[in-house]
Amino acid sequence: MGTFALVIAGAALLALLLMLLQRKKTGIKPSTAFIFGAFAIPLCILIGRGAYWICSIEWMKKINVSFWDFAGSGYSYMLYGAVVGGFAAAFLTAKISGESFGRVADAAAAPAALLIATGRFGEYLVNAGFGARILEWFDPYETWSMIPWEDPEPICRFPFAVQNYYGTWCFSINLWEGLAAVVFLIILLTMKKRREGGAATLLLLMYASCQILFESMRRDDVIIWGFVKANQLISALLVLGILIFCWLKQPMEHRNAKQLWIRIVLLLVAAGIIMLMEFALDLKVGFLLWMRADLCFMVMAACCVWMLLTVLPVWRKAWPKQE
Amino acid sequence: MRTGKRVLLVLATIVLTLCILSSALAEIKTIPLDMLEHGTPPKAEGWVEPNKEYEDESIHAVLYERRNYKSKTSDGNITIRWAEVEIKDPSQLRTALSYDSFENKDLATAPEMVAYLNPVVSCNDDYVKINNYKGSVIRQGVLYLDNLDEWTEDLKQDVLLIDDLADFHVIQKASSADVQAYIADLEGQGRTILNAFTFGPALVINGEVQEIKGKDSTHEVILATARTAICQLGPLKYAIFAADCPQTGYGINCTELANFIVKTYPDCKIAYNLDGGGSSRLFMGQKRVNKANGRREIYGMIYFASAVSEE
Repeated sequence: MGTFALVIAGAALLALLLMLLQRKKTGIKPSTAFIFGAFAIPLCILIGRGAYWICSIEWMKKINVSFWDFAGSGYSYMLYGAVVGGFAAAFLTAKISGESFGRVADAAAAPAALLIATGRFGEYLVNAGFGARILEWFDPYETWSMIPWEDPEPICRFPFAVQNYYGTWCFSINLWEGLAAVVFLIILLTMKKRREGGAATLLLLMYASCQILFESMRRDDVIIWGFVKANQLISALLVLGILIFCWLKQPMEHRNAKQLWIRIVLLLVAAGIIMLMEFALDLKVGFLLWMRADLCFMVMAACCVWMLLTVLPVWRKAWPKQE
Repeated sequence: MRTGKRVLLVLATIVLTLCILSSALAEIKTIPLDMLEHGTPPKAEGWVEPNKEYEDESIHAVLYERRNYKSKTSDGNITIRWAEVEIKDPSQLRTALSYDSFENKDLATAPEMVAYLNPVVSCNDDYVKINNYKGSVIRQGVLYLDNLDEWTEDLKQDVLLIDDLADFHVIQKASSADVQAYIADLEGQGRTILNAFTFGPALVINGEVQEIKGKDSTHEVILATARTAICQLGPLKYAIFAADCPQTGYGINCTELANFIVKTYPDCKIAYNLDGGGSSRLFMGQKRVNKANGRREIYGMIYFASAVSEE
């Protein structure tokens, strides 16, 4: 845990450096970056931990873990809590520096992607972020993969896999989450300048869309509400929220209520299919028993791309390119 | 030459006697209560028939099966398997949580837990660690959860308690106060409760099939599905039943399972339904011997370990 904290601290410094290096593109003052850093670090930690606590409070109460026991324990953070912390820091920074909230949030987007990528790769250090067991996954007698592989030894190693408590090799889902964050980072670094707030919204949209799939693939200690993984539900709601936010951000004359409803229906259909795939993964849907787990995940991935592509055109209209 | 033969004969007799004596003197140890203690791994020579019958000085386990069982609620015939187990020491009946922790909510696969625990016979438990869980949870003497009262009155659960003599006790429709009073009463008699499960319902009590109503439980008790049930047949004698569910619609409901158990063991003291469906798991040694349609991982296991001293 100590090494992980050091890695995150180092990544936070790098993120701050990136924010400073990007100041010409984003148009923020150097002092704004430092003010943001000063607020973001404690707020992301506090709200990230606090969100995990709140989302698990019922569970924590039942196992008699007080907030102070929790604070000093190895319990995790909730990334969406850290996101709220980041936005709160951007808001406070904007108030103090006199710069707009959207500009500060945009300046923080690429550094945030860097931090997410580092955090995900850092999960190797705390034995988190693992998925299905590899040997079981490729076992031709099991019902996980369409592709049988009798000796998947070559991938039973770092970085593709991690060993769990029992010494079983499991897929490193955090590797894919980290790589996705690297892609987000590249997109944010190379994208043309858009209206203020565009970069931060895009990062949130890309992250939430992908996380619906990744949360389903993860099999480690995550917050579960009933039978639903909390982060998966929040991600789906966030994509819907971003669609509505983007629509509202469009100039009044471009807003088309009918198109919005069509897109909402498209999102709900995609969410419905994802939910169906979740039940299919648990072999609870009679007519989908033929579907192997990898096919279920492929359908889910397609639905996530579908959700992203449903919102993206509205985002483009809401935040047009600026010369 | 004759002297040489005599010497060889005497030596052979001594070796044979020593072998017999050493086997007869094999000690049975009490396995410490700690969840991290798992007993002795089964000996290869203990398997009278691989994955069907095991015997050593401390434990005897036999797997039986009834094929083509006609369940009224199932879409087709199913197989019911059960392991009958006799142990010599109460400490051989044990429980384990995934990741050896109640706080860690990571799930484990049954094969990896079985490889870790090295039991002779094992099965899934009661879905103990699911978030927002309401129940009474004691494992290997440690109380983890006591909030039965969060169940609404009409859905109160039957709680299975196992004491330090490995005797079963069932409290039907239990409240936290009921369980606490029962435990206090037992403690007054010098007994300790080492394990408590909240799932049920109780299927059989003192040879009588219990009335099981669908509206009294959240565990789909009237549905045909895979089932796991644990029974005490007598002092240190138990059985674990597992009804197969090769595909959706197949299986057995709780009343049918209770009737099957009583027909098989008319003197069954207590039979208690554990988590079923995709979670149903029954292992003989390292081999899974039941079929349940599902990819579920589990939160814990109940198992019988060998207690033969390795020295």
